[in-house]
Amino acid sequence: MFKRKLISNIMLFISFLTALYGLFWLFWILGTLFVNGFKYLTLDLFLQDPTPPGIEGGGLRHAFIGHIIITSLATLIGVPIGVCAGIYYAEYGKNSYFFMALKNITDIMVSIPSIIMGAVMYALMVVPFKQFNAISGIFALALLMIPVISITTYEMLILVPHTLREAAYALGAYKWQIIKDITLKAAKFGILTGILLGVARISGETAPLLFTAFNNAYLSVDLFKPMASLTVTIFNYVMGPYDYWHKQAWAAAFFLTLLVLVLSLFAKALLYFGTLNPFKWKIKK
Amino acid sequence: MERNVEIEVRNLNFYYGEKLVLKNINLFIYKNKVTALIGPSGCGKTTFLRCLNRMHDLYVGNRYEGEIIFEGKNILNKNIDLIGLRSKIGMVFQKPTPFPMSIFDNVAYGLKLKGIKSSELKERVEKALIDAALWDEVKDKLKESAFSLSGGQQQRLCIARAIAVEPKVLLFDEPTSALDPISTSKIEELIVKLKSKITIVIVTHNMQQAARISDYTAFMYLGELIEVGPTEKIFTTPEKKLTEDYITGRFG
Repeated sequence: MFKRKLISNIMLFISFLTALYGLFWLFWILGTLFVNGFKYLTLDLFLQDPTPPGIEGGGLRHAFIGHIIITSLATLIGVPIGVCAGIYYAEYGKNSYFFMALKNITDIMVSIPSIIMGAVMYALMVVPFKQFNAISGIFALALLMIPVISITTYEMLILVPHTLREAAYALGAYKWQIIKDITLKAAKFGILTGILLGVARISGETAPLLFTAFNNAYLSVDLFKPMASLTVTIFNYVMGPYDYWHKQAWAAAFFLTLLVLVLSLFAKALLYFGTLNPFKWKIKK
Repeated sequence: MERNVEIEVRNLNFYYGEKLVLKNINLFIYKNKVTALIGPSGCGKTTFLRCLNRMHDLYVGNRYEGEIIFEGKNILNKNIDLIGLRSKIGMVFQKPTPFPMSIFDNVAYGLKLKGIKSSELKERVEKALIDAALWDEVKDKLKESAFSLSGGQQQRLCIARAIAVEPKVLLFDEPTSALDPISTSKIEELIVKLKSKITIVIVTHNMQQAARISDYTAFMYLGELIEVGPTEKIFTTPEKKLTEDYITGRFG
């Protein structure tokens, strides 16, 4: 009896230590980011374009705007395709070996190294035009988020009890009506969560943009030209020689981390509370 | 076919894949009567019920043989209009299955599918809820989610939803097995009341329930229809030994 209790306590202690180990590094990173980034988070950072290299001042407006354009357009492409693919896997492909194999491949694609997507888009959309362009970056990010969204959509749809579908069939509904009115509605919070997680995933990516959208030292909204993004700008500024570049990079990195954190928290809240309105959040018993 | 027969089942065999689960079922289901299907678990009651609105078609590998005649047509025919069939033969399930929408929209859903005009909707929804003995409890909260109702109310909501489209036949698959005694008696009353308009087939595990509400009882065992007749006769003077053993509780 005593021996079993001892073993249990030892195991508990080891699990506690490993959890502590993981959390320690996580909070160290977050803490460092906060300490170094927060104090440089000024209004100028968002409103000013960069000054010529070496001259202090300026901001990262070009990168923020570029990042918003690239991320939102990628979301616009990725969400419909991802959601539709998820619907197809869950509602139509279930009896087909071919589509279930495809679904398993999609599952693997969720964790594909993002730089590979960049390489694919470099070959398909940069080489033929002989120029880095924003569109290739947008497509690279869209390709990255499609698996995340379609797998979440699939998982959420197969959680919808089958009796609910049968009840709708028993009323004389067509399959597409059932999907539109019943299953999608029943799974909507889960699907929205998947979308938010997908956006969170791509908004922190650097690798797929490095040789697609590349980067731009100036504000550009031309999709066929290189476009600045926060992540690549941070990467360049950190490698750069100037102290004020490093400060701006810290601030931008802090902001980006905060953004992803907030997005993920919202996704969790949506799944848990069933609403995005913080005033309606109630702790469940 | 006789005037008062709603559905006639002739030599029905049903296979799950290669497995024969319903063996040569022959049965009349009479108009405006309640027909109860009883028998031990796994005897094929629910499987049979789900043949009547072709619910098995949702899953691959199922196969029917024989005939089920409804409105002069064999509904097991390959080219029958399943959507039309299911709007004429409705179904209520074991567990309440409210849709993720408001109480009103739940009842209106089937009506909208049928293309009922929105000006008529309100009236039809109210009528269905009154018929399902739920109106007084929900009339002030029609906009609220259907999940806010209790289990028994949800089940009556599902009945309201099913009768709103005015089906000729309503199939009940153990509709009270998940409910408390009070909700159960409300639904039993409702079923008896509904039969003036609708033909009812009910699967039940509860023999007292079958005795209370049905006009005809069919006893099934291991995929076969052992005996069928007026409920009173089945429960007092059954012809087969097996039926007697079951209703007196000697097995099952």
